[in-house]
Amino acid sequence: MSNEPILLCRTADSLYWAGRYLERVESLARLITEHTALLVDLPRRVELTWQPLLAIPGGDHGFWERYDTADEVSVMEFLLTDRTNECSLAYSIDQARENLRTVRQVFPRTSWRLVNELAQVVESQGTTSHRRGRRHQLLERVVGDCQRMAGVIHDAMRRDHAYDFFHLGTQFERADMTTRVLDVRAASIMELNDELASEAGREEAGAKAVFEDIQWLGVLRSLVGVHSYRRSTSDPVTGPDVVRFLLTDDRFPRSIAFCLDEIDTSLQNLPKNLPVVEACHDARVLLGRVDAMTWRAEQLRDLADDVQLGLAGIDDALKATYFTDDDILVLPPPSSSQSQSQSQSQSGSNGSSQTQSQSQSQGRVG
Amino acid sequence: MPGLGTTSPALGGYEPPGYDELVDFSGGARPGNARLFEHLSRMSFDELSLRQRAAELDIAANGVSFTVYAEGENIDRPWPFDVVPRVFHAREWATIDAGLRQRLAALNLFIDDLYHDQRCIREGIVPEELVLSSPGYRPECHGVDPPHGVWAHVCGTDLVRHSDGTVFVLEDNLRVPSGVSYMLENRALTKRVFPELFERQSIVPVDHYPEHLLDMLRSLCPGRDGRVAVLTPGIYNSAYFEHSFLARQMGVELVEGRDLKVGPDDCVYVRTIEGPVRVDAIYRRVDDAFLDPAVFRADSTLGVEGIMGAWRAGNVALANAPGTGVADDKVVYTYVPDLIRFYLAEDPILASVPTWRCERPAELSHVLSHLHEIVVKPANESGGKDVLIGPQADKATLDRYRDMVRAQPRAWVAQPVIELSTSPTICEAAVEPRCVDLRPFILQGAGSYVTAGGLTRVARRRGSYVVNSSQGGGSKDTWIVEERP
Repeated sequence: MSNEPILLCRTADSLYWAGRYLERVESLARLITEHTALLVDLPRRVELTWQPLLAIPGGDHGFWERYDTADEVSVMEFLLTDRTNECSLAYSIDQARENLRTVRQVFPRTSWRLVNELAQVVESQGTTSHRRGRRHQLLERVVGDCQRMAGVIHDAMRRDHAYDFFHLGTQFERADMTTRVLDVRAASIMELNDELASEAGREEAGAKAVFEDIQWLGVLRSLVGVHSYRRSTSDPVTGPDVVRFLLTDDRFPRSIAFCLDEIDTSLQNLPKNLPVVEACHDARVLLGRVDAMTWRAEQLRDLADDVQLGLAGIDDALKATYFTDDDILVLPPPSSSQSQSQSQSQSGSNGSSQTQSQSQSQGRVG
Repeated sequence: MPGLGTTSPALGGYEPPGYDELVDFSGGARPGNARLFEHLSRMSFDELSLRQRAAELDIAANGVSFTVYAEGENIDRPWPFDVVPRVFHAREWATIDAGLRQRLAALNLFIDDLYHDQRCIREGIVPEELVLSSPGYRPECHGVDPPHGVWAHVCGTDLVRHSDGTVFVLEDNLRVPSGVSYMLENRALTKRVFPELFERQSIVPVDHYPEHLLDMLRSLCPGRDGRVAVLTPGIYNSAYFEHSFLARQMGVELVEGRDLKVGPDDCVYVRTIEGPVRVDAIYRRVDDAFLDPAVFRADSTLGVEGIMGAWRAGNVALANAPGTGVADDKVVYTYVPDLIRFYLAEDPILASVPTWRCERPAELSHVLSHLHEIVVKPANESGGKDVLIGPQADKATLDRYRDMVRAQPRAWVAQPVIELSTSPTICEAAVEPRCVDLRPFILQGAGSYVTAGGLTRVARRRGSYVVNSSQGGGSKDTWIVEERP
């Protein structure tokens, strides 16, 4: 059966990470765009700042080591162009490119060209985009290029195991991002609500409700979900409905349920899939807890944490099943500092990126 | 030039110092170059520069790069390319093509003989001590019978043209020659940025190469459905782009040493997501010394332990086979015409550059006293490393080389300076003549194949003979043109 292509463990690993990093680039660009737009809409007394943008991708710890205030220019520098920040746009594009470089023999040529161009655009225009004026244009380009890449891959890439691993990476990262948005943004809106409800008068509560709508719409928008949400229900936008939608709507491409279903579908094509399928199932079951929620911030944070752990379980199972193949090669000793999600332990890269971990996810596990 | 604006013509003031590939000594086009010459004559320098710029953007966007190792760092550089093609007339090329096949056939018979009966030594064609002292000679290869008796499956032979028009073989690269992917990329680029040049003339296509390479590799497998892989040292190797390119073009796996493992059955396996899968032929782009830490360098992390055993047992084909380096020793080079006569009973079709063998006392003393007017090369290096061009060297350098050659005569050869032919090349303010060479690629398995042209490399500075990409040289698309009289 030599006509059917084989897939090297190392190539599968790189494809998975290429999928993750490309998705991360797109979602980060969108997150920044929507957050900027939201800040413009909200009055000063609704204390929304740039800080959630640091917390969602999970790099706030590293930020405070280098900056004193989370003003717009500092946060943008950190998120867009700072290559020492493993959550930055520039870093993610570099990593996507480095992973794709090692899998060019199985990847559509146009996608390679696009990721190259994207790296060059961010390199040349990144620093002028710390301020608002030029930023929108760059981020729009980034999102657009990612979408073109997704289109090329969707249309041109053979649906073999190489595609499966790329797709697994994309869907994993998507579920991960939705979980992070729920954890940071959604939970903080709920929290603010709890506080305001306890001390504010009736009049103020009414005004606040308007802004709450805007905030929930902002959450949906950062996950390209407004239109899909509207089509899923005729009710007004409310916190519980948005949370339920982002967790369990099995037709919305960025809901956690949808991404886990996609992961499951891809896994069905792969050999030796049982441990990963089980991990995926374990994560999927967690989503059922949404029915018992009483809509308090703490509950949502707990659920998001558990889903993150569930995702980490899938990631670990993938690594153990496909990326390391003990039965025929002696492997280097495993790294001790692996954390859940948004970290890559990739043998093919240089020393500095052997194990990338993010303080936020570690903090949450602990 | 009417109608083409006020800027200077592209070929205005183009005055080659010697033999030029485009224009002859009377200023007209050489055979095969008529259409190109006509087109360039009608173009302005600005227009030509625009095409050059378009090509450079295209290269950057496609990530066509090569890696230079400098000052302890790997730098990924965009591939240097000049849009003005270099042209051979098909009639001249037919002779070169035949000469290249003849040469590789003889070299393969020579290698096979060395690792078996050594007739060439017994019959006095090459001296025994010469062969045994070559660093490329591998006693581990004795008695091995690779498929078809072929050892060097992929050969990159460097050709140069002297001022009298003669094409010389400068050297044979029989280990892991690179450059063929750039030949293919250069053609694709020229088609995109200079499409009109392809109208109304017949340029022999080059893009069959990957198919021929795959056919050759398959011809080394036991069955016709064998599994082929390209073995690369990894992304930090200067030719990684090419390794990945060829794997992609052939639709085969690109593997690193750590992806492979030799099983207890002495067969080679690749680690896949489904478990180990057997590999039958490996186009290896890892040097002999790094191929098998159990046999060669023990500190190699690029190779595969036990692969030499698997190869000797005939369980995997390696292209090129280990031990071929003995035939690209530059001292062995001087015997190639004799080897062609000995094994094939034919006269050599292509000329070799007359070479002084420094290990012979009379020739050594000639070399030492004429250092300032000749070229001195290490016998076993590639990439233009440590080559001395006497007329362009200062006294201190000459003294240093004199000492080095005297200390280790076997490690050096010397040749008269070949005044390399030039080709029009886009420089900052004008088109200027720059020296070129040519590296065609020859395949030999069950049959043989020669690329239609090859990779033309071009020196960066005026008067420089250094064309190696690793030393700042550029490249050109190379055409074989079938020109009707």
